[in-house]
Amino acid sequence: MRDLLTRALAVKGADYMEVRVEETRTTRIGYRGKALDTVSQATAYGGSIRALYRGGWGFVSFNSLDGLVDKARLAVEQARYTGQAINGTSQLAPVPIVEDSVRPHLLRDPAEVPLDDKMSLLGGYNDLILSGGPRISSSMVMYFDRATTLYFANSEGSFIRQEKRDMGGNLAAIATAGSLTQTIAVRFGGSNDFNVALGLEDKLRSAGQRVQDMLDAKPVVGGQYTVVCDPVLAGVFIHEAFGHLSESDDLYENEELKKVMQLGTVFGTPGLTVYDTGEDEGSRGRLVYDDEGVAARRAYLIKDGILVGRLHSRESAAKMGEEPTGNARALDYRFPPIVRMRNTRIASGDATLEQMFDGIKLGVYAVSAYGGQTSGEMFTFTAEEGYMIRDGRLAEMVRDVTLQGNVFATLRNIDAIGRDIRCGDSAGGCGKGAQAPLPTSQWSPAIRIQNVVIGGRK
Amino acid sequence: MERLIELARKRGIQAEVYHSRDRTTPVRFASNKLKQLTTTDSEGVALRVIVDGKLGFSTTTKCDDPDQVFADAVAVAAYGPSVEFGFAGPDRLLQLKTEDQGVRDLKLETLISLGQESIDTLKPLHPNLLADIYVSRAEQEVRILTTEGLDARYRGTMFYANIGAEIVEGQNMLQVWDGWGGADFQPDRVRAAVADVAEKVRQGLVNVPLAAGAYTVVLRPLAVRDLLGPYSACLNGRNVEKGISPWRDKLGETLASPLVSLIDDPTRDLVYGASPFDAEGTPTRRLPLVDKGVLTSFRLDRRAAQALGQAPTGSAGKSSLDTAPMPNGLATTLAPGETSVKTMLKGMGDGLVIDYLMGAWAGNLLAGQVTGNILLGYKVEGGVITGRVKDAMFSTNAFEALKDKLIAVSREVKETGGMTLPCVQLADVNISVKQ
Repeated sequence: MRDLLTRALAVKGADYMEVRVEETRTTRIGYRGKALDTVSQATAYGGSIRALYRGGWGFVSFNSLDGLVDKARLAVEQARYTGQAINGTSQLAPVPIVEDSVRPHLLRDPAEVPLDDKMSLLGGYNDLILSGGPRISSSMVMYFDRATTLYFANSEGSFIRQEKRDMGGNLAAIATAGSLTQTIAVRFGGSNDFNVALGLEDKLRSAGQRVQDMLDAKPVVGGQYTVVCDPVLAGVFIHEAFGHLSESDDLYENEELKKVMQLGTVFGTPGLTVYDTGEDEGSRGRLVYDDEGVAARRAYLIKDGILVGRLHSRESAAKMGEEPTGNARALDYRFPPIVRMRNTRIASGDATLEQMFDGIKLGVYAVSAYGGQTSGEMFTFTAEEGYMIRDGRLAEMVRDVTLQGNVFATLRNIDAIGRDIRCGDSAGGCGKGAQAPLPTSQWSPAIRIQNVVIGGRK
Repeated sequence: MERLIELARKRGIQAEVYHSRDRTTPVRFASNKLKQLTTTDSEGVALRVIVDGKLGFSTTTKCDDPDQVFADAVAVAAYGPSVEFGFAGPDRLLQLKTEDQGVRDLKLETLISLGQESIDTLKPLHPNLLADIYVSRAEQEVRILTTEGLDARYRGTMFYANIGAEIVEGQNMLQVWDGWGGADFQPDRVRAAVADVAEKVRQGLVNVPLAAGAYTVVLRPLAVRDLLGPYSACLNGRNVEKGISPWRDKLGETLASPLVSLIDDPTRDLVYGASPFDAEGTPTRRLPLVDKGVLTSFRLDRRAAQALGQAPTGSAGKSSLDTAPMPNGLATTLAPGETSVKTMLKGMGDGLVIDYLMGAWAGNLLAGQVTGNILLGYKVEGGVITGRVKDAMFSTNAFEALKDKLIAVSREVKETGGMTLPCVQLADVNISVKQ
């Protein structure tokens, strides 16, 4: 493989070139209601070549490695066309040349678990969901695991072979009464151990009970509240509301946004520390090298409320005169790397959940998330479960809890941070551009936020 | 591909082979400058088999290794769902125009100059405006073979442009986008999208305060798409078959205002998504789903159709090579009404116009919930747009909104992301606002 890639990289005419070749085997299992919906096996094999010339990029992707040198020539030709049109300069932050072979520390390799065992585990979970009570109407069980071998080589002499594992599951209980349908899911995910999928029976029983209770819950009254987010929702919040803003490929040519994101700016209360890292062996966002062959390093974004850093590719780091962080990631061989998160973490504080509820006259406790989205300074996400907080105590369940707000104001309004951290890995992933779902993780304690707008009727 | 059918026949297995091949060459401008040229060649095979009544599904992009993908499909079929449907046999297919020589002949320089022209139009609108433009041409070939004797293929072309503009001023950000796609090269449609973006930028430059409350709201087409999210979930034959669609037993009932007619029609020449057959090889057809408020059909793939004892509707779509066919909206149209947008605004007095909602897809669609941040919306006072509203949230139930709260549907429509959509005017919509 190395010789083949080296020959392609020998094509002249570009300032920089890199090639990736990847093979992935994916197993998927899905149940919808009583019936098994799908079992599938996918093989994805392909590669891509990216070339840089005077600040312009060319990118070629393919499924067959035949004529690789010609493909390299096409990438160079495209880069030269772009580079000549813009007549810029190629800037890539210098990084060490790497020769390495990386294998995950596998506790129980999902790729080695027989399909028979996966089927009976998930089938058992599905049966358990469906027998959860009279108002359980259906289920939605999704599982996947994926084994990848990825080769990376660049014109600077780096050559890296990485093996990766990724897996995730969403086990959703669906309850119906009349025309009202509610869903609550138990989720899991990881990168080195099939056993994270085991032993979820109690969680499923509890979710089944709660989703039926939710049918009796009233929609939340729209308005402005003090909100306590559980660790999973807090993780989604920091990912959506702040993490994406830290991705410097959207930043380096935007002078006005650079001012907003100036290092040293106060972004939150002194208790707030946020970082993004490739560490955390076993979580889905685990990363050793990014797709530019750069070793993943911990990047502090907010330290004690002050903006201290951001996420970089080699190009964005060079353009902003900062250090690369190993955040250039591609969904797969079909896409060029762009700046993405890995494991985004809010560092723990010292509050217990009771202390966070304390003093809230009327508030909302928002638990887990269906999904979230951000666009510049605005974010929104929908909680899976909601409860009113009345006079400092957890009160009745409410449904249809959707939070929204201004990123900057909301970060400054975080006034309590919990002490117990949790990771919300699931079968989902992060989307940016057309590249979704990319495995990322969020680790967070519960957080309390003042003045959050929740949608709904008055 | 024939090799897979041979292998299946030899083993007495039913099989369906979906083979696709495409070349896409997008041009990308970022922050007002040409950034990247791309050539993507992709080819893959998706194989479904039915072995002893059980369904197996495998895919590969290693097209020179049919034995592996066949072995994979058979291996998973041992654990697969029991199914009673069969794969498509030969059928009469529509003669349909899905390719355009204009796209085949399209030069890179033409795409680049169209992108540059878009930037030149948008840039002068504001000193901080940064445009991201994506212009692409694609050629695609799809062939479906089955052991039942189907061998259907079509070749298609695609021209696509996405126009984005962003303005940041301090912590105030404005993001606007629009686009156009079709099987033929229509640069004027791209220019119209650029003009739309420019108009939205102008309307969104000034922020105005808004009090929480119930408002008359005009949703523009991209927000109408979100409002129709619950409809798509409820019309999905698989959700009907599983009994989780609240519309499962409501065929023939009035579910919406008589102003609402929703039709899938991929049989129009050169439309985005035009195709003579669906992802299972079933011939496509014009499919009225909701006719003047009455539920007339669900979207059925072969599996859902069989379970419901109905005929497949040619609605099977594939979101990517490695996902199995699922019922999907193909070239969907919400029928236009008779009111002009101008009349809507004039008649509404005070209210809101909404271009984009954010996060509305994340709500409980089967319950009709559509709740999203108003990513781009404007206050209307005395029938005139006075400025952009921010930190506000739109919340409605789509079933109620399109039944009891629907005031008017515009006669102007927009083609967007495979859908043709008018503007929709709703009464009494809850808007939550940060105080």
